[in-house]
Amino acid sequence: MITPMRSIPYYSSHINESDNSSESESGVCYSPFYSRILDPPRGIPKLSDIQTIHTSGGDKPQMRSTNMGPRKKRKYSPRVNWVLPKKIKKSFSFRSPSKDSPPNGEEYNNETTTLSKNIDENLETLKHILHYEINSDVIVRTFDIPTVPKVKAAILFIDGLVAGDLINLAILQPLMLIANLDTSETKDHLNQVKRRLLPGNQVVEQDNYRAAIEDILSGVTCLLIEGYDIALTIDTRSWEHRSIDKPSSEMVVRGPQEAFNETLKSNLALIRRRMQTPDLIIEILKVGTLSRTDCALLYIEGLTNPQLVREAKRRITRTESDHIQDTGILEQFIEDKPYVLAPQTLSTERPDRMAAFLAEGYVGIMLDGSPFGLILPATFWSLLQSAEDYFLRWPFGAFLRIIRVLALVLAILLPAIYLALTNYHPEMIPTDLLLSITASRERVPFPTIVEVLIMELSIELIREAGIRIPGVIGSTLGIVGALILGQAAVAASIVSPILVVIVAITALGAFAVPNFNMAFAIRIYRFIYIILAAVLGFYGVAIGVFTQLMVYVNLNSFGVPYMSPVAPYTKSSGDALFRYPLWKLEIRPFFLKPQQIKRQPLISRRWSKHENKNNKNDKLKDNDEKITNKMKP
Amino acid sequence: MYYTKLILVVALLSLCTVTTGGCWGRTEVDDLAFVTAIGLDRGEDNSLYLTLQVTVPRAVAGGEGGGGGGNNNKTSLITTMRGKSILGLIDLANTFIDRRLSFVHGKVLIIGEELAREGLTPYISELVRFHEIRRTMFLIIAKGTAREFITKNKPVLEQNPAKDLEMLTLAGEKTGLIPTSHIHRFLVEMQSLGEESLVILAGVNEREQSKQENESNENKYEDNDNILHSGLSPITKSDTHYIAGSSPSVGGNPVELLGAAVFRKDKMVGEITGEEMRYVLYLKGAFKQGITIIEDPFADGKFIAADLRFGRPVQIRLTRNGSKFHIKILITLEGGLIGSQGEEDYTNPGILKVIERQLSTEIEKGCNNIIEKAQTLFLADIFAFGNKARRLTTTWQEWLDLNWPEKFPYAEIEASVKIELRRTGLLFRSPQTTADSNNP
Repeated sequence: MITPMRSIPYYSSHINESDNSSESESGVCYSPFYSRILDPPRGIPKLSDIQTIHTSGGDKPQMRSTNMGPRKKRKYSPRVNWVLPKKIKKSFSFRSPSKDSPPNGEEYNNETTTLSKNIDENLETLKHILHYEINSDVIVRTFDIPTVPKVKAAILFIDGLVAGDLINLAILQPLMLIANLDTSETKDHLNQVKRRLLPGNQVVEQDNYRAAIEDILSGVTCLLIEGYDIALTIDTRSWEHRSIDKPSSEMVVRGPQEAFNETLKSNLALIRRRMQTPDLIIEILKVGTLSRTDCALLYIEGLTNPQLVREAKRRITRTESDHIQDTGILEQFIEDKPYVLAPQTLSTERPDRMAAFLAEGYVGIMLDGSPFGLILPATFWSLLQSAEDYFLRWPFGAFLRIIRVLALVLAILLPAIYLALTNYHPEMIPTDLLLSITASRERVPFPTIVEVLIMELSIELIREAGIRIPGVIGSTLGIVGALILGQAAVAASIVSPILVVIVAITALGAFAVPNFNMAFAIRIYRFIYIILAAVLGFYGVAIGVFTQLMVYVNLNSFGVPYMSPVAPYTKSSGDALFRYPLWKLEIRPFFLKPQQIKRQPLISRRWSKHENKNNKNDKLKDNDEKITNKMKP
Repeated sequence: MYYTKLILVVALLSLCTVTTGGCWGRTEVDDLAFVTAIGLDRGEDNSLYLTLQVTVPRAVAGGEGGGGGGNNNKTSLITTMRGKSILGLIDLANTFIDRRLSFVHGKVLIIGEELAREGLTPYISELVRFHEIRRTMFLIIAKGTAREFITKNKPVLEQNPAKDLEMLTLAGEKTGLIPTSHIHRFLVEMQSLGEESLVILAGVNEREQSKQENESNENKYEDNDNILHSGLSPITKSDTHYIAGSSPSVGGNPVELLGAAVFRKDKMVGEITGEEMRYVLYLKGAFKQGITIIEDPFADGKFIAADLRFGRPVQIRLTRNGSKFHIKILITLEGGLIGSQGEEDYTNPGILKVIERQLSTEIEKGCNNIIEKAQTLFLADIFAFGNKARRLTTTWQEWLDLNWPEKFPYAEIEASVKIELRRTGLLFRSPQTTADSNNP
């Protein structure tokens, strides 16, 4: 199951930032150290040279180098603030500055500190920032590059995040063994090293501590060379992780059987594989001041509503918290109304589902380390949909949808309705049923409400305990527990048998709701309705339904009404409560206002008409010819 | 501060909805005693006997403790009280019935014949005002007393005696041998000038009773033989021409619903048999389905059974000529020949025609007989012709002045029946046993 895998290109974050804040381009504010790069000391190539020099390092680093000037300024814009909040800074502080060691934590925090030309000094600073003496997984390896004369060099990396073989073979071996280069011509070791000695496919030059540290912490190996204030960072990332597994909470019988895992790179690859269009944009943002988690924002350029993308990006970048490590946490920071029970984002562990939503004009969010992606915005109906609805033929999919709505209603209301009926409105129960309810209740010493609460709470207990019961016995024990508990409770006259039936149906109903968050909300709603029914009967249930509907209708998820396309009514392909045949789904959800509303032509099964009707055949042909003629210049 | 106020206001408002909601009738179902049948009888000194049948849920549902068969004593509690009003006695009942009486599951209201002949207005109006009484309760007139009927009712198939009555009434509607009578219907009809009520007639089969009494000390089989030899009640020409309590049957529940009690306003004035009830339903156009038998026109003493239903809605044409009313009714029935004792080839259209004619004359005769009976004996428009007559008037006053109940006995009513038999059952040809020469 565990296979090593290399991570995402680590420069993407920088590229994103340069896209991101183009508005501040005009007011370029160079840092004091910027001039040093513009006018580098002897032996270091000028900025203009870097452009040509960098060709060996892949295409994207090129871009990055040429953009170095303005990019640098943007990188330090307050939007992506690296500076820790004061309190946290104190508790997690880098070592306090001392007079002896000139570069210190404060300097590291200060973005503008660039590397010096003295390798020892650089090494010292980096070691200091990384707490080399006490941090066991920080590795520093010093060596000489056997040029004439020898040049001192060192690599820094974090053990466990890197591929050791790769460092040995692709960095140390060429540098130490075959580096007999004649550098007398240019005296430019750095450039020679980069162009001729580093077979790594992603090599980037970093000129300041912060960037270098950030890279080292993400698993990149940092190469320092004597006499240069540039650190080469070579991608050597590789760590142990889970391989792609089957979905655990969104299983389907028919359809793809792969789920996201904890590695962002492979997750994005899964989506990219299902969306082979250059317009699929994956932007990388950083979230969490301490965790600095990579957060991928996915959308389709030219399709997704740019306002939606902007809003999603705004909420993510304007979220300030120290440690955001899962989409479940991020979700709580970016949702509209945290006090409403209904989930306002859709989480999925299925790449196919994510791709399908992206194709409809939704925005996706993936976090490094989280096997669940977020889809924005969520509507009430999308929470009742499952990927399988589309993989099955339409009557089956439509049937499943109806069953699920029924399950939702049952799961929320059934115990409350039972309570209201037996306590307030016995005349509504068929006589025979009433008599059997009465007969079964005669031996129970508690009022119905207590009975209902006992059973509901036990079910919740079984559910909660079932998750914690280890391994294979978990599910079995849960079922056995439920059965035995129910049977014993009836035998002991604590509850009536009919109530066991009701609670069982209710629990099943909650499980039939495909979205985990929604199922959770239902479980809580159920208790609210039970209380309402116990106090006010059907009147209370009616109040509850009315209030819940009002809240839902009033709710927005990222600017999209929660109940759309039903309330407010908007044009749609009939893919909310019901599911029409796929060839009828001609437009994308209108409430998202995608840039391209049409997803397929009116006649998507074009073969059918051509073959069946001979008379119409010619007409269609004529039409096609007309269209092709028009297209021709 | 603002939020504190807000929360306070919201809390107060929701408290208002809770306290003023008025839904404080919370009772557990096992704290209620469900009355399923109410019986009313005339007592001495203008008093009233109220009989309540309260179902025992444990016995009916067959819970662990119960296990009782169809024994009436176990599945229900029957109590009779004497008093002045129905509702006044409910509280009295709760002095010895340990659960609060609830009428929400009342199925039948049974009224003794004596009380019915005196008039039902005071009791019906007392009941329908009470919120627990459903107007969909069936109304039944018991020959003899209601108490007797309720106590004698011992269902065999059903465990629940009230459900047994409910099923009987529903089944009766299918056969057309009893009318549909709910409290609501009776309430409307007893106030209406245009029609009079027919109420389900119920009775206890006396022969069955004697048989059961014998059963206790004698051998069952012997006793059955005695009954068959001594003969059941005398039979009539049609197999349904009986009123409740007198049908020639033995075994099962001694209680039967058959025929109808005829009312004029709120007073019972007579009884009609099951067969007559069916004719009334033909004339009203409310007949659903039923098996009619006639004597085979080709063979004496052999009978033919036909399953009939309406071919098209009944056509009633009512005309007024001064103070004289003419009513012409055309009943169009269709159906199939489902059984025959004769040996004819009924697929032959000519033979079928003869049978059709025979059937229609029989039914026509029956219809005209019951019309005559209603006009002369009961003086009650049980066919709701008055509702047609009302269409001839333009104002309420005019309708009141018309005084239809007075006019009805003098109306000239003529019913004609058209019958078409569409099917002849599962046989092409009847089995031939007497005509060997024809069959090789």
